[in-house]
Amino acid sequence: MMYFFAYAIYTASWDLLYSYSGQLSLGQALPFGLGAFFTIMLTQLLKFPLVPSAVVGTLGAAVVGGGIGATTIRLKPGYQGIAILLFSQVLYWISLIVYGEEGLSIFSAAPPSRMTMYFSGVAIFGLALFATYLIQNSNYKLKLLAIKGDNLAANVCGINVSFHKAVVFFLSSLLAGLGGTYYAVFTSHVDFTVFVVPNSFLPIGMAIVGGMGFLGGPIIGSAIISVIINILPIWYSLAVTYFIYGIVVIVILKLRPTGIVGLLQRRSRKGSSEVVKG
Amino acid sequence: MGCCNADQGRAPLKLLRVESIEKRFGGLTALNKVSINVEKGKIYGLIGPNGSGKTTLLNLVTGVLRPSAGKIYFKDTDVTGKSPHAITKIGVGRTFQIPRVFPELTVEENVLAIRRKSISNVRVGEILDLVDLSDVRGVKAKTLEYGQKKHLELARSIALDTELLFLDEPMAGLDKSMIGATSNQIKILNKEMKKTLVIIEHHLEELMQLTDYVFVLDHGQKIEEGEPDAIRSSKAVHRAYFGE
Amino acid sequence: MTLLLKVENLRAGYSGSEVLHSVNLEAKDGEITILIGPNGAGKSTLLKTIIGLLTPIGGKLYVNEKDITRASTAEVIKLGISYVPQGATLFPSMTVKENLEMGYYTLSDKGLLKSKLKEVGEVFPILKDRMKQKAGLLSGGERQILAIGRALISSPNLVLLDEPSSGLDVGKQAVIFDKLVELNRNGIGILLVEQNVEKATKIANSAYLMSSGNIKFGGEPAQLTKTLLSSVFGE
Repeated sequence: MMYFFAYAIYTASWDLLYSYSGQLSLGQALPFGLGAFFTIMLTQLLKFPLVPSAVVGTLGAAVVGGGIGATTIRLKPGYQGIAILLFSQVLYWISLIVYGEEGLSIFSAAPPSRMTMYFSGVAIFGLALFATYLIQNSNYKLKLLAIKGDNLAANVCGINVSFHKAVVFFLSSLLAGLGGTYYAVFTSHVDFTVFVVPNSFLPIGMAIVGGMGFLGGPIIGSAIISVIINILPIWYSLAVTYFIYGIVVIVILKLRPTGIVGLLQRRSRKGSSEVVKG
Repeated sequence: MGCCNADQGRAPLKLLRVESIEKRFGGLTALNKVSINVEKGKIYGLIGPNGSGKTTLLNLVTGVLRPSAGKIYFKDTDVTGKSPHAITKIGVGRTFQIPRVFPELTVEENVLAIRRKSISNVRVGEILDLVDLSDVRGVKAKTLEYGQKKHLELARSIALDTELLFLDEPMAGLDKSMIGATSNQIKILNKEMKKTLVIIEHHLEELMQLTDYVFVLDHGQKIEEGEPDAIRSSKAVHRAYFGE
Repeated sequence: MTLLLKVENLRAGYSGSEVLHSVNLEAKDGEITILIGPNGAGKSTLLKTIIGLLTPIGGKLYVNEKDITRASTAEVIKLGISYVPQGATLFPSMTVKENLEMGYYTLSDKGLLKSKLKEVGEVFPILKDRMKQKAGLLSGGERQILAIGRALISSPNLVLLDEPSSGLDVGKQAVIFDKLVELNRNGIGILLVEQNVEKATKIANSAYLMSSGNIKFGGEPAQLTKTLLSSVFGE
């Protein structure tokens, strides 16, 4: 269940970046992992209490993630995605060298009770949902989609493209960092493996399955994949589990690129309202 | 012909001053010390053979490119090298030769996404009426025909409420009936909405009928400027297009 | 005059929507045939169907009495028809010479290629001087001329051109139209789609007026009266 909360907000952070501003991140594990690391570093090494550590850790992830993202703004989406992927790998090696294979664990503070984790999970989940909802129904969404549609045209139409792209990157890193922080707190541990490449592709797979660009997409996608990844290993080996996870993503991508939410929306609509010109 | 200023005895306002602008791409000089003055209220033409530097000049004025040398002033403010969005906010808008609409947004959303605060919802409806796109306001812009996309770009420009508007080949690729519609829209932009226009065009006959004053570029230099009749009969202009 | 191209009750379109509804058209050997009409009429679609880029939904296509309705593009080119799409589609990172050679790709007798290149260079001296230049660096007018040159290199009997003057200034338009007349005088048939009605009708032997996927008129260019044109362009 906790995994679901972490993944939901993690996926929402990636979807925000891609579906709303057209920026591709193939290294979303960067802010996620930074949130986890900063939080544990603060509470273990600097002996800060848990909650302030979490807050500062998340903000730290937002600043560093947003800052790194800001340097990639002028790149085309494909190159931008790879650039961030490379940055995440730099962090992989740094965290391996600095903290070794054991990583960091929380020993000082007792882990919060299940109830606390559960409620805070619901709280941040609700926060992410609310934030996405606000953007969905605002004129800001149109501005972002304009940027996604055509950077140059948006610029020429008075939209400060660079600034807004950076803002969205900061927000995305904030959400991902929040997910990472939550993850670190309930598992009480983080190590270099948080930055592995498959972890960066996890939110992408979840967004695809759930439906990119929809409010409920990341939620449904992360729910389904969380179930697959956490429950299937009870009966099957990890290899089979991840194989099934991959198959599910590919099947959805091929048959219903708009994801589960897209499928549901299509069913409820009578027909296409678009006019196709010959 | 002259400017429509309420103040008597005042010289027409120099809206845009381009002073000795130069642009080099590596070894190629696209624009060589070009200067033009644009007065408020008029419709200007910017013509010249392919490759003469017209679109480059437009890109420099609207901030898409930085000049290698020279200065650009809008209403006495130095806008040289400013970014496109800043220049648009100051009052200079433009369209593209090949229309760049926001493909996934609807026709209406294309306008709503960028409109100035001064443009009300009612006004958005009027603008869409003007460009004959009211019927398709809920349609995704990527499904529009070429001519409709050009009109959508025009609608967006109007919603940006700029004093000066550059149109890059607004008639390119249009058939006769749409060219007529575009000419009418241009007249409305100038006479009713009081916008100053600079139009790059290859449809010379239509352009000469619309414009008050014309600049002619060839191989990166301004070779002639004047009223349409003078340009029509200019030997230098004829030579630029047709050779000796 | 023998009949070179015959389009019979042709129906064609794109994934689910029919754009051409029973089109009939003839291009006679050695003549300039023009096709005019408003945007969206289906002119480009007709050219694409003739050259085999689109498969017709119904009707027939004949070249010199041979049925090419289901022929592939390569087969149609081998029969002597060339195509210059709208927008001078070239290979920008290849040189002028290499682009021209691509026009010869489907023909088997490579020995003739050298003389063909020389011929095209003579028709378009502007290309002869720029053989080694990358196509992407050419100006708009030069690109259009290269596209036409590429269509000529296979010594076609009929060239299909989709708005070759679009985007060009009046000087270059005049050059293009002059060259088309010159090519025609040397026996090459031309099927020309154009928005420039005045210039096109001046050089045409035969004219077709198209609107909403139907041919509204086919015959002598002189008969394209103002009334006929306004009925289609809606002024």
